[in-house]
Amino acid sequence: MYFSRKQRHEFSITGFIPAITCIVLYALAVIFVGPKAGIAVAGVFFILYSGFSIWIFSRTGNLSYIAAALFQFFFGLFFLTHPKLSVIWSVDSKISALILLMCVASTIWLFYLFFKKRAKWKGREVFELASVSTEPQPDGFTDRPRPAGRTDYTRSELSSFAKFMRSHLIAMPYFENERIVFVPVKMDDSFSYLFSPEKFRQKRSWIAFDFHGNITVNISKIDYLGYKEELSFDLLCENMGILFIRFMEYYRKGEADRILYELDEVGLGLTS
Amino acid sequence: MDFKKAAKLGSCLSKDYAEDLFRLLITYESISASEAASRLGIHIKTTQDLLEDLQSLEILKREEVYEGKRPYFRYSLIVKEISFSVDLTRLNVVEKVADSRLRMKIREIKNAKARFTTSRSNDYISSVVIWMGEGRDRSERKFNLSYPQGKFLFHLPFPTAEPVTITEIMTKAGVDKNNIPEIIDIVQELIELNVIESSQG
Repeated sequence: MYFSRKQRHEFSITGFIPAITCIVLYALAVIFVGPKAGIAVAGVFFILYSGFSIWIFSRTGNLSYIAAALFQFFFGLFFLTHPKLSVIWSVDSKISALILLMCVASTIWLFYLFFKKRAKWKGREVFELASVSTEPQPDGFTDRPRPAGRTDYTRSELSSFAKFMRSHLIAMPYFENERIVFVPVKMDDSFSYLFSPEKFRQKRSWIAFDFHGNITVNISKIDYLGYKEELSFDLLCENMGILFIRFMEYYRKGEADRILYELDEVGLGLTS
Repeated sequence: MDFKKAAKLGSCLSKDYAEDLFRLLITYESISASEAASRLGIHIKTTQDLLEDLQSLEILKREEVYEGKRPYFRYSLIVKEISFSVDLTRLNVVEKVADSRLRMKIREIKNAKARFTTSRSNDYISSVVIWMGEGRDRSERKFNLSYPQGKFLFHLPFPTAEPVTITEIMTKAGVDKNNIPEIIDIVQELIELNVIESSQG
């Protein structure tokens, strides 16, 4: 299926900040101390960053962050312990080779998950799918939430659906007393979400499933302006509700893979 | 007596100097505004306004007389007692709205200068803030909504959606028929303030 892009292309350097920081620290260490110090700094940075990746995994349950943490940890360890590179402490060359093997294995796993889009925050795909068959119609925006219908599910089904949506980075759930609110997070917004989830949700679109089967949708101004054209706002909210109801139905029928397939079919890039 | 007349009469009677003025009116066969003002020690314009209001309520009659070439009015009482009753049941709009206004199709107007605030539970609207005027004259008007009104507005069609009758919205929102008057009240207010647009169904 061909999808014409309805969202603006946004370029953000947020995702590159860790890599840029690492390069800058490495360069500074090389310039002011020497090449081995540069490698040691990069090694320490990688190990510290693996801790950050584990923290993200604890927040999302997404496996790619475990793969990233292993990759970063073993690379850091390799830099710090390789007999020819190390300035801190070196290990036997056989152990170093084993660490390198672990590096390669975790890199392959990480790349596999990356290219399968398991590491991708899929908010942009969600908004693209909601806008399919939505025609331009100006001046329709309102900040009110919209009741988007009803569907059947049990409380435990909703909870496990929420975990699925979170671990696949489709929409981040917020657990409330009477409902679970899903907030789709785009790739370039991921850090904003991770560092301040409560503040993040205040100005973002959400889809709420209450424990009585009612679904409510609210599309925020920020996300609405993310579309190239002023789309029919009512239809957009309705489609968003229908999309999530469909996702829930797939999940209840044990066909959760269809959710991922549908999102992949949008065909957005790996980093967009 | 209709409510507006009763309110006007009530306002006249509530003045501090009203009793003294009536004492003069019952004592004098007729009295001018300046005579009454000088007796009561209040401004002539204040006295004149009250006498004019009482005359419009048919409690006084006025007669134009001349002092030389200058005309002025003299007022005299035409009633010896005042009593009034107001039928409050006439204020109930249920009967009137049961047929026509419930069939009115409505939706939120495009670019309405209003902010809808949802309740903590996010399943009804708790208040509507409407901005009026421009620039320095801009002001806010806030409506705190009753629960049925909030549920009703939560289901109000968006500006680009098809307008829907009030009855249909009430059904969707699960609002009881007993709440029709308050629903109609808020709808009419929001229509006047350009937040809701309507068309006859």
